[in-house]
Amino acid sequence: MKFLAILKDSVREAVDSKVFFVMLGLSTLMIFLAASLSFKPQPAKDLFDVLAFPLNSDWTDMTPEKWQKLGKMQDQGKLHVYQVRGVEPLNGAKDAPGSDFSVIVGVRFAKEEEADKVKRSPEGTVDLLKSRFGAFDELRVVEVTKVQLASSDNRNLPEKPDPKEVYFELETHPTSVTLRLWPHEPSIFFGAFSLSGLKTVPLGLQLYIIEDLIVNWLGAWVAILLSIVITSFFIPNMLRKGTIDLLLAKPIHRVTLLSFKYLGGLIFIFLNTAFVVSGMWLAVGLRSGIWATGFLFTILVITFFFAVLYAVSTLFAVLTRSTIVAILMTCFVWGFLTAMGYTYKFVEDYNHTKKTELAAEGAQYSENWFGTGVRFVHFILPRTRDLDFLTTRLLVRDLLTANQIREQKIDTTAISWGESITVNCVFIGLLLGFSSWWFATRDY
Amino acid sequence: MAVIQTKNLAKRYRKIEALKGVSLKVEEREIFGLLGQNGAGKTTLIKILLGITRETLGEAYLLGEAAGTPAVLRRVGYLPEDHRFPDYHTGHSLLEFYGSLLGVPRGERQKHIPEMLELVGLKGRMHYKVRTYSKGMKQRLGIAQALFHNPDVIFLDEPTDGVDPVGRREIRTLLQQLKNEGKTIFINSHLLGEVELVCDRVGILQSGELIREGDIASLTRQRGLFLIGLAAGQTFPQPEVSQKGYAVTPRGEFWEVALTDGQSIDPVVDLLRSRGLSIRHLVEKRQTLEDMFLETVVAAQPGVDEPVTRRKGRPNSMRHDL
Repeated sequence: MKFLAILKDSVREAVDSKVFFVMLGLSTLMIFLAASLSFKPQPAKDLFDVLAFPLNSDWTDMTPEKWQKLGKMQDQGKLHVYQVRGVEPLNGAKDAPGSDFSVIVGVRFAKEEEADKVKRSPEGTVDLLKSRFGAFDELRVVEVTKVQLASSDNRNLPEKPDPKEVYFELETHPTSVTLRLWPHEPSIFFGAFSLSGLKTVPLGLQLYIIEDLIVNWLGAWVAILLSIVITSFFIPNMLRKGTIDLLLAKPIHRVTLLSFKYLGGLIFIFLNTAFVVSGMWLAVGLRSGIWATGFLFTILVITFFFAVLYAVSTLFAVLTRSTIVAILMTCFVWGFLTAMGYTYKFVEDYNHTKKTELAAEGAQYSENWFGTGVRFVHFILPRTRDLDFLTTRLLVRDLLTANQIREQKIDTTAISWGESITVNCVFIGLLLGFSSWWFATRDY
Repeated sequence: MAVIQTKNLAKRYRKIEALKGVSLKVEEREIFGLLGQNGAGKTTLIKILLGITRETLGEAYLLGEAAGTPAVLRRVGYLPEDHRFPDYHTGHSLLEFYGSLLGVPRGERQKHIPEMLELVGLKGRMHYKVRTYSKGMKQRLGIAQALFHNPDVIFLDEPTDGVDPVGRREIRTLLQQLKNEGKTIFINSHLLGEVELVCDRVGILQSGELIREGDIASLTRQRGLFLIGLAAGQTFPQPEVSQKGYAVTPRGEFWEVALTDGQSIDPVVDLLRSRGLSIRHLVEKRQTLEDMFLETVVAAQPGVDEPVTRRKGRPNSMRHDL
């Protein structure tokens, strides 16, 4: 009951401040913007062209160098052995990701004799098309339900068929990932403004870009900054002379009072984050048809990130009783932790490069004092940058393929989550412990 | 059993000794007034009793238990001096909030909040934000929150501060009513007239020391000084009374008769009656609490508040300009 009373008091205080309405307004605006997004599917052939591409090479053990080489070969027209010659829906709407399609795939051979041989005995190519067409990266984008030699009266065949080419008719059925690999043309404000620059981009990647923009940019900077400002009032206001006397004369332990106040602020931000993230998730899901549950987990990640910063705010609020100092110091620590994260990454990359270089020369690399210092500070301080990684991975999980992750240069360095979360929790615990001790032993 | 008790209570803030071994007792159903100049240590004493501040030395007990524990605080109401209620609350929501912290069940809160606010004359404004309240209204709200959970002991630090004369009388009546209900009340106040009217006993704190303590009647009684008044047209026999060894001074229509050690007023009364004079007024003259307070405080630390204007030359603050 006491906890609920303090939580309600915090909400009442936040609602009373104008900043709350700025935050609520921004949250609602973001949800509205998300709800105004439209995604128009691009022609089905665009997708099937992409799906035919992997048939032209061996995709196992791909390295960045191999990708580069393949790209060049495609540009030079050397990779077009398998090409999509025509697409039409078997049922459902034209160019709809949910439709079954009939796809004509032409297989070009160097000589007519080779083509004739396959026409006489197509089983090997049929099996190949059945097993590999529709596979993209690690995903099965469409199921190939039927493959056969295209009959000569098929209206999707070229008017003048190439004698070196053999045409197959494939029937496809959509899978759970068809939609997100399908290129869409996005627009905003219910189609009023087209974002045509993204129209060749698969829908999943578009959603990743949009959600990453919201969570890692807008979420991390604007929403958390506003959250810091709103909640930074809670504890200094409680500690004002004349206010704290009234609270300390009530039958509640000081540590409990401060803990409840901290949790109240945290829950308040959790609720606001839940409102904006789930609102956006719902809006984007309804508009795109993709329900990326990883996006919802970012509610917890953002709240945890905020918990670290709110512990800093609480400490300085208790020490100084000043809202301004609490805000400034929290922002400073936030900036410092972010800078430390990037410096640590830089040091790690530098160490790795140097080690590799020196190992090739048969020498051993020894780290300098700066690198050791950075790694030590990184070890003992909260890993807020790890939380950024976690957010990205949660988004990536439902929206991108391995290939897209590589193309987007998304950092997938292995992170020790147990260590990272433990360090963050210990940091929160230490700061709150010290704040509680200070609060419990002062005279007011 | 003493409801409030301190034993050699001392508090030091760095170089300042706020309390120097204060020992006092307040009994059940008593209204006790603690008097003292600004900075005498009155608020510090209350804060120690409530656990808001911790004592440096000594002991403090409330309701027979160590002061400041949650169990004790549940039975205590407190109105601080210079209180500052969160102004985003309404009168109603503030009592709801404090009531929750005090562990008052929801049903009881819903029932008693309007009643309590009606008692202090705020029912009509209970859904207005506290920031719209006048100082007097905030003071009434403060009293309401102190009494809301029906506490056994009530600490009021300057309860009538900012309250108009009508409101003050209402508060006095309320305090009397609470006393009759068995409550123990501890008041800090500068308004000595108010204290005199409402308190059973008072203590005077001077620079952290309890320099005087007792019931109002005994503290304000002035032994050996009587005021006598006769019926209209009758003459007071001043020479004869003086001859008997009494000092007589005219005080308007009355005569002030001063007794020396061992003297009684009875011979004077006998003399007046033997002369056939009609005594219309005979009262032992008493000091006001304010007189007693000023006398006590000045005696304890003479010259503390000597006005700057008595000094020759410019005040210190201006001397550096010369």
